[in-house]
Amino acid sequence: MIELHRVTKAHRGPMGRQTVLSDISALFDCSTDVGILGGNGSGKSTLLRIIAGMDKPDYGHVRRSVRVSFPISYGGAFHPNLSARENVRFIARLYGADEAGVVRYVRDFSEIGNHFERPVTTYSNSMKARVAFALSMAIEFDVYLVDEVTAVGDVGFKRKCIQALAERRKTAKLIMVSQAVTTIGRICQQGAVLEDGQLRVFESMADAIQAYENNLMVLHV
Amino acid sequence: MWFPAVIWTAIANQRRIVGAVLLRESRTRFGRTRLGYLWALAEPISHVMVMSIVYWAINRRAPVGDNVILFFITGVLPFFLFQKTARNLGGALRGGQTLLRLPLVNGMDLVMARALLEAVTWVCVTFIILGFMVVSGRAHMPDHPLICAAAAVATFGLGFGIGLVNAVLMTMWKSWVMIYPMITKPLYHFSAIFFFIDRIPADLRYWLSWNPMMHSVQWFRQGYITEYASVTLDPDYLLKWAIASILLGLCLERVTQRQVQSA
Repeated sequence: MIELHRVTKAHRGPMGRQTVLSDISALFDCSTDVGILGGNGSGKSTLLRIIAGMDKPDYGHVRRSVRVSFPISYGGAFHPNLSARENVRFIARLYGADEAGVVRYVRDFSEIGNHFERPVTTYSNSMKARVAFALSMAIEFDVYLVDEVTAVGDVGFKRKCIQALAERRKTAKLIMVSQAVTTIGRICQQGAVLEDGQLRVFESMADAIQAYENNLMVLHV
Repeated sequence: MWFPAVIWTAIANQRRIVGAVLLRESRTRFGRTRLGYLWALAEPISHVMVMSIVYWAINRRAPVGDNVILFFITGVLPFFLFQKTARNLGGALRGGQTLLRLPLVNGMDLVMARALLEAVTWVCVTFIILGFMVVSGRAHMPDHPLICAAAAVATFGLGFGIGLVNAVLMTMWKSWVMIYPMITKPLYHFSAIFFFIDRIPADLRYWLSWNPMMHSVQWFRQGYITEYASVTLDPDYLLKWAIASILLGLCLERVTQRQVQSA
């Protein structure tokens, strides 16, 4: 169960305060995959980070009774001067996972060879993304958070990612945010639409898609 | 069991997280080379050596007694405990922004990990330096080890409290990064590290007695060498400072938690 209670968040920027999420309350029982649709800059990623617990809301709170992942492929917590092995071991230790097992999984999955032992700062973006994705798959969570479909590497690796995610989905659920209805519509059963800082939750994904597309029509006409 | 299981789990989790952060910090703080650890040892030694040479050059006798080097060491060590703790804790939240993005890690974990690292480093450095002095016959064993320990704990408490306040202020108010070293720099000279507090004029001594670090240095030193017992020392004063600063730091951390987490 993930409960959002009156979550409010504003970004402070050069343009002053901009409310991104205003007074959002919602309950996800995590028995189905949830897809959250929202346009560009609607605050999807912010919402996902708050659900993950990476950002704190300015007001309100989030309660979780399940183990929630960090957004998949998130590599921002890697220390640039430490090697992938050291970074991975740190996060495994943090989550109380089997360190050796996680390290082995990530090393084999990411296929970056000897770079695994070198400082992360020497990596290309796609190498970093491979390690980050492998790490999210290596640790078992009840709910995985997915921020759109981030393209990782070549087609072969992408297929491997999808397989790994499918494997995890046998025991875990997803919360996915996207601005495109295709993937999300295929995977998720429950849907929600984020716009103007408000989150509308629908019983079925189809209803959510309909509401989302109606909005787009209104905007474009 | 008198402790509910929930609390045990919470403690175990906390220990695991602080432990993980601690290991990571020790990797990154001292750099990738083993020389990094040596630096922790070299710094206090160099201070003692420089001051000893200066004293020798101007041909002054030890402030009291005849063991100049031991006198300086027992002053520099407690001072470094405070200074390093207060300073390195200060960077805990500012330097740990990427770690704070991890859902499991909160600000206090980072502060606790650094505090532990500082404490362990200091204990090692102290044992190595004083151990070397004793083994090589340049010093005797401490007269009252427990008093030294008490002084060290109180000093660490003060360093922790001020460090916690620093950690919050340096995140919320960036200028503090510059201001803090500026106002605490003079402490090095006003903490009776290189002179004996009872030997200076009474009115000056009165002003210096406001400095909690003076009491820390004096307390530690007279635990080690009883002949330096001072009439100026007021351990309670140091303890009050330590407790007050810890409370202030905890409150500040609590109040600013949300801003720090998403700064």
